[in-house]
Amino acid sequence: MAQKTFKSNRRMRCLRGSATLNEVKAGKVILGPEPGRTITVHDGWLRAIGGAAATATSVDISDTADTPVVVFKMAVGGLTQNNVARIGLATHYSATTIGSPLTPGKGLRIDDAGGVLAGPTSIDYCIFYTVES
Amino acid sequence: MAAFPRLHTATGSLLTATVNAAVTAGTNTIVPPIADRKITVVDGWLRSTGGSAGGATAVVVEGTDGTDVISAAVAALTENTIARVGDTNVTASAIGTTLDKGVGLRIYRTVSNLTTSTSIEYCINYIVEGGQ
Repeated sequence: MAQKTFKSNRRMRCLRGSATLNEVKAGKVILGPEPGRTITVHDGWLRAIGGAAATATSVDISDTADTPVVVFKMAVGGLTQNNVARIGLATHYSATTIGSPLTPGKGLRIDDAGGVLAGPTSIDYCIFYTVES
Repeated sequence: MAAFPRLHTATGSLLTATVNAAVTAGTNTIVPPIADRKITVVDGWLRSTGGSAGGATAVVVEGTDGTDVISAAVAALTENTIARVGDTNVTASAIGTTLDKGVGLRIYRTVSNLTTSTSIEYCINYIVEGGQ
C-alpha cells in the first residue's frame, strides 16, 4: 500500500485584536505582508462591540492583494453586540478560502462589504492561521 | 499587534468532584499561573461526559483570580456534546481579553455543585505574553 506523506505539523498562530468602526470602513491591514511567507487561515471569529453590525452586508477577512481574495465573510446578521460569531457555527458565515494557502507574500485585512458598516464602535477579531516560508 | 504569537492548547478532563472542589484547593487549575506571564484565552470548548450536566448554573473557565472567561450553561452541556465559544448558552465574557499578569486558568461551577456528569472535558486555546 502506498504510504501517505504528510507535511510536518505547523505551529498554529493566533492573530487577535480590535479594529475601530472607521478602520473597518477604511479597510485595515491586521497582518502585514511578508515576502516569501504564505498564510493559511484555518479558523476564526469576529465580535461586534458597542452595538450590532448593520447597513453593510458583511465584515470580511481578506488578503492584502489589490484585488482582495476573501478568506471568510461574516454577514452583519451574525454580528450582534458582544457575541462571538465564528466560522462553522452560525448561518451567517461564508468561509471561502479557509484552509487554502493565500498568495505568497500577502497579509490579512479586515473590511466591510456591500455598504458602509454602522452600529458597532469596533470589531474584535481572532484569526487562527499557519505560515509557510 | 504582536505578529505570529504562538497558540497554546490546554486539553484534558476533570472529574465532577474536582470541578466542584473549593478553588482554594487548586485541584481544578488547568493552566498554572506563571509569574510575569499574561494569558489571553482565544477559543475553546467544554464537553460533559457520563451524563448531561445538572445541578450547577454553569461550568466556567476562569482565571485563577476568579475572572470569568468562558461560561457554559448546563443547558449547553448535554452528554458528549461539544459546547464551544460562539454557541448558544456559551458566554465568552473575557475571550480575547488579556488576564492579569501571573494569573492561570481553572474550571469551576457556579451557584451549585455540578451533578450527573462524570467529568468535564476541556480544550482551551490561549496565547502567552510577557516575561521574555
